[in-house]
Amino acid sequence: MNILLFGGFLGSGKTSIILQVARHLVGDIEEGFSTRQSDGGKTSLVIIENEVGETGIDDKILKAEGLSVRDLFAGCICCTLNAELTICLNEIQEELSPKWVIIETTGMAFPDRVAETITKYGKDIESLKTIVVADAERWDELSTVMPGLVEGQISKADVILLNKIDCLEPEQVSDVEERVRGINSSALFYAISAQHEVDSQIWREAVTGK
Amino acid sequence: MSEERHEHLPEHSHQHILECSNQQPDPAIFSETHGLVFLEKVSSEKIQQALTQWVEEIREWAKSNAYLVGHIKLFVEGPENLWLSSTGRSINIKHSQGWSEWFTYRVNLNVTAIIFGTSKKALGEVAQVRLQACIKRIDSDE
Repeated sequence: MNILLFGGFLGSGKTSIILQVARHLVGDIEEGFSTRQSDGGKTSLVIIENEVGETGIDDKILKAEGLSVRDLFAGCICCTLNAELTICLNEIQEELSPKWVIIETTGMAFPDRVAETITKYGKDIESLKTIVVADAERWDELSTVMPGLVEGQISKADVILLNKIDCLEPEQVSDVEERVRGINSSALFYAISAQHEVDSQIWREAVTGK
Repeated sequence: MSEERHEHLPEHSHQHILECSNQQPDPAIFSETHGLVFLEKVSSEKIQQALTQWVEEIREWAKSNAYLVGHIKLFVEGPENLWLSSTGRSINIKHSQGWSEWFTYRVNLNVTAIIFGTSKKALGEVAQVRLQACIKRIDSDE
């Protein structure tokens, strides 16, 4: 089981990006957008959705695209629901043993805390990658109002996706990029706009590491 | 239009307090699911216009009070789907392929607004009143 752990502040574009990544991953396996593999109907990709509030929206968006989704509501998996996350992950492994599991955290979560839980208690984890989405359009505002959260999310990411660059001028994007890289210089960095189809080469490098 | 002509039953209405020990202020959360039934078929265009207006109104209310928008999201669930989202700036509109030509008697409506700087009560009152007005607009003859 290979895990992609997605973090990033509310509204940064995690769900839009996950939709594209899911298409890439499933297409990579079976050249079609379905989470079912042809050999025996085994599920190749499962998404775990952790949402703020007890009425989920992101899970419904992903399910409407035919994706297999498990919900974890009424708490945050980086703190109050970390035990539930472990149980959920291990059940997925035992029941389905998918090649890929995508976890979408709430916009208030610290992904490194979730990664710590998975590393400690997860079973049969082949790989774990933390991907954090940063909102280029709101970078100034968010890094001013909530610097601890925004920087904490980015600081330990393996991959940073600076999203919504279509909302800024190129020089503004460069400025934000510099500030994001200043927080975490070791992560792979990509500036994207998930409003449009992202170059699959980026997903190959960032997600599957090819 | 009368109240009897449609049902909009809130299946969930909760405020979830995030208990993350992250030293961040807790946002106010409005999160509801409604099953809407209309007496006559309504067009997807009419549904989209009314719901976009709801997002605009919450966005403007937050802006005028200098609140920080976490996000405002809305998903219409049915044979065709509509997804609206905003972080307080532009409103993103995405929909399924057949949405534009669609007419329906019923939809499931899921809405969430997460706003920093206000209370659950204040957000709930504003969001609920404006949502009911929006639902009435969908069912009106105008």
